[in-house]
Amino acid sequence: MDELRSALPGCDLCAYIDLDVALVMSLSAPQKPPQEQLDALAEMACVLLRSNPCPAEGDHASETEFTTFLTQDRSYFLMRSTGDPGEVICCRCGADVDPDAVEAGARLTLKWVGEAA
Amino acid sequence: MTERGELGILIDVLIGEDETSRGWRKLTAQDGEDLTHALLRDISLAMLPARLVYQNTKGLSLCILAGNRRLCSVAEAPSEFCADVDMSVGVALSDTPEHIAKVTELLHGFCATSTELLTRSALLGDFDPRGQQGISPQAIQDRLSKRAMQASRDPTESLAAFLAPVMDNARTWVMTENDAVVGHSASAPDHALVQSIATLRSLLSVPAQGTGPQLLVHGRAGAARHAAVFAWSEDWVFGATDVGGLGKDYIQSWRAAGL
Repeated sequence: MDELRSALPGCDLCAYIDLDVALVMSLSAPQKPPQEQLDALAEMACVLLRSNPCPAEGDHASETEFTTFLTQDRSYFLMRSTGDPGEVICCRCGADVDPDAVEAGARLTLKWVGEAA
Repeated sequence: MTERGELGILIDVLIGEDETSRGWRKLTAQDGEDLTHALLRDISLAMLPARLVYQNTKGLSLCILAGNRRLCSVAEAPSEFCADVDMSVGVALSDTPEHIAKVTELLHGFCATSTELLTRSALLGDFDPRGQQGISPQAIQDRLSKRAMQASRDPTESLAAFLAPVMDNARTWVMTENDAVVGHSASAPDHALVQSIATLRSLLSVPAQGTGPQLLVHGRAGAARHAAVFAWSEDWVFGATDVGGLGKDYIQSWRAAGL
């Protein structure tokens, strides 16, 4: 998680979230955020990736793989593991982050986590 | 009163359903009963300038809105009800000025100010829910541009410029203003998409803690049309599913638009 965060300019938080228990299980950040922030991240991940609030034609609920949420000064990226759909990497970055770099880094991290398990 | 309570009666009248119609028997009034009494007594329900909308939190729920205030609500409505709301309720309601004045007087102290109601009426004025065709992307863009001129602090022009290609590129899109549908793609409205909007807006306000325009791109692996795009500012939300192109394209164009 530390490697992923350091590879992304402006990234101030990388979190490993377990959707099954809706908790941040591992974290990389300069300072540990308040628990309510982490809980909000976990809740966001659960709703966006598990409840499928963005339905498409047909049933694609199980195929939701990534979500990007942009505010004026922040970018939130949520990437779900293809091997274990309950595992999610969340990166909170600045507004000018390269989405491709986040996606590639998150995929690699999820792969490492899967192999380690 | 029947087992469904007064609100059930009110809703029946609003959409012209009778008691034998499906879905209604499970409804029970929870709050706003005094208001329901007043509405039933004093105005013609077919001309009530309120909107019956639904939202999907953990379960389905219904609420009656005037302006952007909730007047009363019922929980756990059956899902088949929601499939009919979009098409039916709009037919029964109208926002004509003479009835707005009457209802504004009636609702004073309960809900929206007259200004809010009139604004809402103007915004909804060109939406005809009886037709199968929604407002065109150009009409939405024109409306947003007009509003941007009226409120220069709102970067709506940039939003409109961003949204136009998304609308063109999406199989299904819906636009809501204060949780009421004001436009949708030419195909039948995507009810599940509309249900998602209120949930998303409330959910994402927590971590974002921002008031400016925001964007959500939702991706699915292995699908040719794999993105769903949501964009919203303070009082409106746009959602599109089955959007062609890559999600990152929309992220980059969003930032390029300075949003």
